Amino acid sequence: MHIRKMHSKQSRFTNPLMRKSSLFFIILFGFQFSVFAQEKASINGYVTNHHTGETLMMAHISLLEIERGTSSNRSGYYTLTNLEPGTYTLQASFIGFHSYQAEITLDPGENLRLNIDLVPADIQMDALVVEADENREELRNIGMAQITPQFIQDIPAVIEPDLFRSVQLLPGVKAASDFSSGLYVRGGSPDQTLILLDETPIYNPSHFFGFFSIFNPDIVKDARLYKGGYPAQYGGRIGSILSIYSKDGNRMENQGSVSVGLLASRLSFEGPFTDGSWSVAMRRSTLEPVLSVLRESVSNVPDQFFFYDINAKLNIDSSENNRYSFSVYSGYDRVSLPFQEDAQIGLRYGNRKLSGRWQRIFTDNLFGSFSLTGSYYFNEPNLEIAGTPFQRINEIYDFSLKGDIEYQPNEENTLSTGFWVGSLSLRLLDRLDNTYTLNSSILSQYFSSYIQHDWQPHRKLAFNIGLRMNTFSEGDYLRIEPRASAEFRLSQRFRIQAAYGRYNQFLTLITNEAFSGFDVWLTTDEGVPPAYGDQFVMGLKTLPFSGYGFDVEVYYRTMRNLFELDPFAGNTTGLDYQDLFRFGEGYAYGAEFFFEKQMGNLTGFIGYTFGITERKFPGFNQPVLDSPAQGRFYPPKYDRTHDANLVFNYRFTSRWSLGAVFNYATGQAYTEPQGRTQLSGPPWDRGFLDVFIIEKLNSSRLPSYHRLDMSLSRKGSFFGIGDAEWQLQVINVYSRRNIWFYNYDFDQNPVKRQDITLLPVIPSIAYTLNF
Amino acid sequence: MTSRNLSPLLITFLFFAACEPPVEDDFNEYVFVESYLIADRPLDEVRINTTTSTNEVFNFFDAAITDANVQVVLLDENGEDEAVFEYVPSEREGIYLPVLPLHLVIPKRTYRLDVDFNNRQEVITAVTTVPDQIEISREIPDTLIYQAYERLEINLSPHQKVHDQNVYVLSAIALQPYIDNLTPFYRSIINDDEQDDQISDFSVNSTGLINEGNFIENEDGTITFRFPWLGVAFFEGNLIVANLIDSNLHDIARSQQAQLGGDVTFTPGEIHNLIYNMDGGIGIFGSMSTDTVQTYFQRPD
Repeated sequence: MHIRKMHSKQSRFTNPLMRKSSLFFIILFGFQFSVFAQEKASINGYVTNHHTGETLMMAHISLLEIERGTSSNRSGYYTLTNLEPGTYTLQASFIGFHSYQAEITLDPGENLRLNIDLVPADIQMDALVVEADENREELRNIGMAQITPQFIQDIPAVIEPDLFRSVQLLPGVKAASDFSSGLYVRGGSPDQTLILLDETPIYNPSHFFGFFSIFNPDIVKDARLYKGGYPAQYGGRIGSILSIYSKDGNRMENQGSVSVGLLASRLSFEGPFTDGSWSVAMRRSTLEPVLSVLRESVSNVPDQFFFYDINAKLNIDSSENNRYSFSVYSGYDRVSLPFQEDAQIGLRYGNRKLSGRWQRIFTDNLFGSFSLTGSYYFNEPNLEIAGTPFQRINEIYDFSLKGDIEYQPNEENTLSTGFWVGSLSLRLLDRLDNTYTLNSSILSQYFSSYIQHDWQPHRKLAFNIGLRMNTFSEGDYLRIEPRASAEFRLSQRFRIQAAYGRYNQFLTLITNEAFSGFDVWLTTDEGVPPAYGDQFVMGLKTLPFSGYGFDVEVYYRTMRNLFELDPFAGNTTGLDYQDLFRFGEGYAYGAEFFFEKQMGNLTGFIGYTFGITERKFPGFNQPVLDSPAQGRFYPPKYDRTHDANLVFNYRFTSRWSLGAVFNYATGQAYTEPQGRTQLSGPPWDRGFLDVFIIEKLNSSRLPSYHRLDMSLSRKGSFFGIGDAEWQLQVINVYSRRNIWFYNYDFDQNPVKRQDITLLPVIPSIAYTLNF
Repeated sequence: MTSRNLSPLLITFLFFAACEPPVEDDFNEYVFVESYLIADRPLDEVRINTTTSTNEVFNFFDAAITDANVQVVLLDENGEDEAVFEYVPSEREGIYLPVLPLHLVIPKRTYRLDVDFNNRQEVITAVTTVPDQIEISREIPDTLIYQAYERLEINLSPHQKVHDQNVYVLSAIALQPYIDNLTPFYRSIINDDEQDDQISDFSVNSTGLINEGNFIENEDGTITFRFPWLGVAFFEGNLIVANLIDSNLHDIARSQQAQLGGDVTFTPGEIHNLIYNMDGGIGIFGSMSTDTVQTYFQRPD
């Protein structure tokens, strides 16, 4: 076991400004804390990966003699304060890493800076189980799930290892189809999940019309999904938060990776420099040879069809107390397709993102993080038929400043506060035949702030109470969101948790679940108030056996004032902004079960979700003969009552491993047309127009969905240059022809139904070289 | 992971899987009524039929209802009956014609349709307010070169608004609807197996719904719309028809367009009913005003 110790002493509160800051926060929160006695001591520092220098989030750090523990925060920083001087055994652990132990002696008044390097374990051996159990406990806050890069790489994947495809395997998260990487979390649509890349919102996280996500697996350091009941620190969506952190880059040595796949390839480099690290990763589709061959024999092959994304990050560890990082993302999708004579369709969309972050250790118990972010999303479909062009431009510019401060006065209390202020510019422009049919431009300033108190009055009892305030200038909206959660530890292996939160959302996404390339974002405005909802969550987290975990969570959530583009709006030219929308409500409830084994040669989990979600909009799904203004609740297409996933990875030897994913889910909801008639034709048209009568919207179900994917991996060496891995995968091993939807040929009399199926069996092979 | 660990979950999972009953709706029969009023033209027919199951062949005359009592009532400003126009069954089953067809539909007035039956329970009513009469006020070129810079512009004289907003539909009716006269795009989408039907469909080619916001407002109170080249399916002589439609027609047209997949925001497999502004049954009782001009689309060199 490798142990590195770095001691640095500094007296507490040496800086008068910092002292004032601390005092300010104590007054601000209105809490009374015991004043630090001079003889008390503290320990703090960063927890990092010994091989790469990457900071590790939520590593567990404890002092064994007094059973005091904490975990590193999102920046990898930990602090233990209010300690009696003396000698302790400090232990640090993180899943997949060897445990760290060191004897430390604290003098009266000492503030010990102890940065901890954890050494990765090649195989997750049973010897690591005990330490990992502690760590896993920390990772199991209510509603939260972690997705590691290793998990993303290990599971079989179509085309590319993909973060979102991995997230979709978790209980409570559903996929719309094999073709969609959209996240449907606990009955919510994809726009109800805020996606953050290094604290910066990403508005369209998909390539290839949603086939897979924009997050290059080579750059993902860690991803946290807050499925619901999340604390006041986060906001902006009524459903969930997916926070993705990119790799800092190797602080120890230069490193690279090349991965060649059939449809996309990746290249990444990272390394140290004097005071930090850097990383660059690129990915591009490699479909051109396939398209070129297809053009020889098939018509209507795209002129252009590609995507790329680039990630870069620079970290500067300027001093012990200050760290800076700058990251850039740029992604682009382009397709251009001629069809028929005198007709062409094209689409370009993508995201750009730029952010800078400053992490500051103000004092041993006061940590701050500040980010300046810029995010740009564009979506520009265009169509030209018979000399008549149609163009759409949907753009979002989002610039913001964000700050989070964490103050830990003693072992019982942690106070957090923060703000998020920004300017959001949204433009939606439609032009038909070179004439504007819609020209909406909204510039809004937003401001959010929160206070949050983590209070652990007893070893078995913990509370998190918070309040978040949101303002949105367009429409002058001010919304207050109370949040609370509690945890009772029955024993070291059993925890009961509960959470409540009110959430607001100022944006809505217009999408059709099938293809996300045409996604359009719209915001609240005057006459279009924000959507809001309440979430109630209860959970039981257990570690029934060493190395195993079993969790149960139940949830109920409301969705009110859902605002969506009215699908019956027809021609929107000249309509007032609020007339573009329909306003409705919804609810969701369910239970999630998660049984996992993380240690040993066989790892994996079984997840099962029972879930119900329904929506209601006036004028939709009304009884046939009733008022058009009425509406009844109906399940959206993505509603699946039962959803089960079995995921495992078996490591035969240090070289060979086998992975498998099996998914079963209730068939999706669809609408079966019951009756038909015909309009003899409105006077301006010729020919009959078919009319179909629906009794209830989405009241029928497609056949159940199930699919088995498998992968076989072999690790080896590439002529001594570096580590290499072959990965052979088979998607949909037994070629189950799952139904995507039924296509009704309404021109037929009687109506004919055709099955539109999802992915057939797909074998693929990929080669990755790390050097 | 042992099989013992897996068993309870698998059993639970299989239990739930087995307990999923398919939910199906039953077919219900409704009365469907269709009639249109056109400003300054005589009262037109009323068509009445029942809906049929999607599993059966639909034929209007098989589904026609022959024992309906039909009348159209002109309402006064207070909504009281001003004049009643009785309808009688025609020789064609399910189609009813006015007894006195001489009444010309009055623009800006409201009409009510009443339908009941001798052997059915349904009592159906619907009202429509006829839009103001429109007139294409400016001469259009006799000849236009297809996809040239000079475009066909439709100029409408000032007219009143009787609904929340004025909604128009423009149509091109081909006078020589032959396959060799099809413009390139329409020629390319003709399916040889259904050539005659498709040519017939394209011979009346409409723009879809056009809001007043799509028109350019002129200083003299007239409004102008540039006819898109996509609306021209045939070269040579075409009648260009401007229609101003009422809210009932607007509702049924926009919802029918959405039902058959015209709106991309609906997810695949999600089908909605049409918007019927009718009590006691379903269908359309709509009205419109119209005007027609003629031009010639010449092939480009």
